[in-house]
Amino acid sequence: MLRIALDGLSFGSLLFIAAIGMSLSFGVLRLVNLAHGGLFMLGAYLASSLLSWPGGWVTAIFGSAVAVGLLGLAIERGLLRYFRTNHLAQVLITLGIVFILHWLTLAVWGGAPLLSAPPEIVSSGVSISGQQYPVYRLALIGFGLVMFVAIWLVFSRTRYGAMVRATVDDEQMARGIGLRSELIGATVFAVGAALAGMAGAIGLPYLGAYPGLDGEVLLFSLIIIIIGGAGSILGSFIAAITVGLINAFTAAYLPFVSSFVLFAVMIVLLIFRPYGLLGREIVASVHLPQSDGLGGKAIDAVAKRVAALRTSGGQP
Amino acid sequence: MTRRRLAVVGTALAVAAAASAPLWLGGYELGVLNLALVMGLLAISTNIVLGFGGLVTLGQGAFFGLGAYTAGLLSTYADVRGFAAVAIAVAVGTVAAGLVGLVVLRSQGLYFMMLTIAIAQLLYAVAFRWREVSGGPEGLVGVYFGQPGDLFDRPEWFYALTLVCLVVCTVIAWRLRHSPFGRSLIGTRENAGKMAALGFDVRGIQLRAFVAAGAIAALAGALFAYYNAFLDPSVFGIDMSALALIMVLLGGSGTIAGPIIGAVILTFLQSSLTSVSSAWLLILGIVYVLVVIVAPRGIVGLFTRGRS
Repeated sequence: MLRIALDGLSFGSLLFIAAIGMSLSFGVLRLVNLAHGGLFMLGAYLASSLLSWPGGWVTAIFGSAVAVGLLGLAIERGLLRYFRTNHLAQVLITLGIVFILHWLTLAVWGGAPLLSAPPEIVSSGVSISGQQYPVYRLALIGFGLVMFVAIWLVFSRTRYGAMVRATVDDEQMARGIGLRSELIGATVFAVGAALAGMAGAIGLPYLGAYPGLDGEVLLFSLIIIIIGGAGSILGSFIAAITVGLINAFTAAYLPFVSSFVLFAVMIVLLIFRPYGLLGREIVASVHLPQSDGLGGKAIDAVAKRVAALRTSGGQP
Repeated sequence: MTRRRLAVVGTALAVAAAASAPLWLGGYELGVLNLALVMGLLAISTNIVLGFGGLVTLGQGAFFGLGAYTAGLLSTYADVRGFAAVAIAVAVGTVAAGLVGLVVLRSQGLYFMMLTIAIAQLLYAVAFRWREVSGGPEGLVGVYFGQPGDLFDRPEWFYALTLVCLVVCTVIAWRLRHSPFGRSLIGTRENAGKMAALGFDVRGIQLRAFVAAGAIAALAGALFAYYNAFLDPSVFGIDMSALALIMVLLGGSGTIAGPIIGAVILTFLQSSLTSVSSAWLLILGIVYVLVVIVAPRGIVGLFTRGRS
């Protein structure tokens, strides 16, 4: 029981670090990043290669975080910043990046799954309820908590965090008082990407690196955003821990329905709170470029039709 | 008027070319064209939700996969085949789309999209893990529309069946767009608030469109399973839904011909590239980015500029 709970907590902690970047870019920038799982996967693959470099795990974790963060910065500066209000364009571009990352990881690392042993310092076990439990997983829980507190402190207590929150509340006003909201957005995206890369690296002994890892991480991240509410750090943390615990307990006791339980929790929550536990309503309208030329004419036509129906007394 | 004449002539030529394809195409090319038509059905389904309804969905793979697995399970376990199996698959897709639509249409915009992804991915996980029934990652082998030796066991007749399905669904989409229902659906896309103020039941309209699209996606899925004679969980995958999405946008979202044009181009591109290791993934990724930058209104949009 305790061991299953610890499994859930450690998986949840990893999920929190993986998902928080996507939640922040969505909640703060209204930027959909479907390549977030791909960035996690790239972090895991990079770490598997960086492990043989001098410095071992330290190089692997920070190297992956920096490399994936820079890639995130390049994606935001190079492409996404031109489509700040066009969500469909963001969806398509990030999907394109997903496929390019699939190609890249297949070409460089091949299709075979990679796994590595946890770092030396946490490779031992401790005795919990009579059995050995890997210290690595306990370290994950600790790391997740540290990251949660750190991210929360940055957002609520620092000047940078205040600037981000100001940009979220009223971008025009933030610009008006001289905040460079463009750059603030870019840094949030890049830091989110770096966190995804770091999560991929520290999760390497747990999840490994394999083709398809990106889809699984994306699904968990989406569920966490839906349950926790986009852009809410506390909401994401609660949701990640909940998802981790549900995943661990259903895997142990109800392996066949584990997907359904997560799904059911999400649906029930959505019926009562459509924008998640701690999320605010986001007016995320999707602007579609249409080529059928019906545009606004359709509404006028409908309005005329309604008017015609009224005057003709209901006869079409 | 000339544009309409152009459309009529183009449609007639396309149908004539497609109908006579078994006469002048080799076996391999006909197979690829058959796959393109199946993907065209999935693209039409996506277009009803995305193009007409303005709802960005990445979950049509859910209904595509349900149709495919219904056909596959009926064929391998119950030996139910042919039109009865297709009808059951479409019914399953329709009911599922109704239930899913009731939930996902409660949210809008990006939340709607994320929910559609989540549902398709959960079905993927079920198909992947429930080995006893779905065969797990190895999938189901030996999914046939007819008994071996039947008429539809021959590739050209199965192609004809697919073509008929595609023509029927294209006509349905065309009728849908020009019906009062289709007009009000496009109205909800343009301005849901105004439509609600005019007394339209916005969510009801969207739900009916979602159900129609689910039925067509399930039909496409069943045909896909028969076409391949086997299926695995990837039919539910986000890659499948994303491929349908880019087919619609490459061809021209909200148009009648666009989804089919996009499906034919990308399917032939894929079949010519999959032999070159994983280059297809790179090219496909670049297509996504290029469509956004170069042709945001799709191929059909390039020829109808100035109308919007």
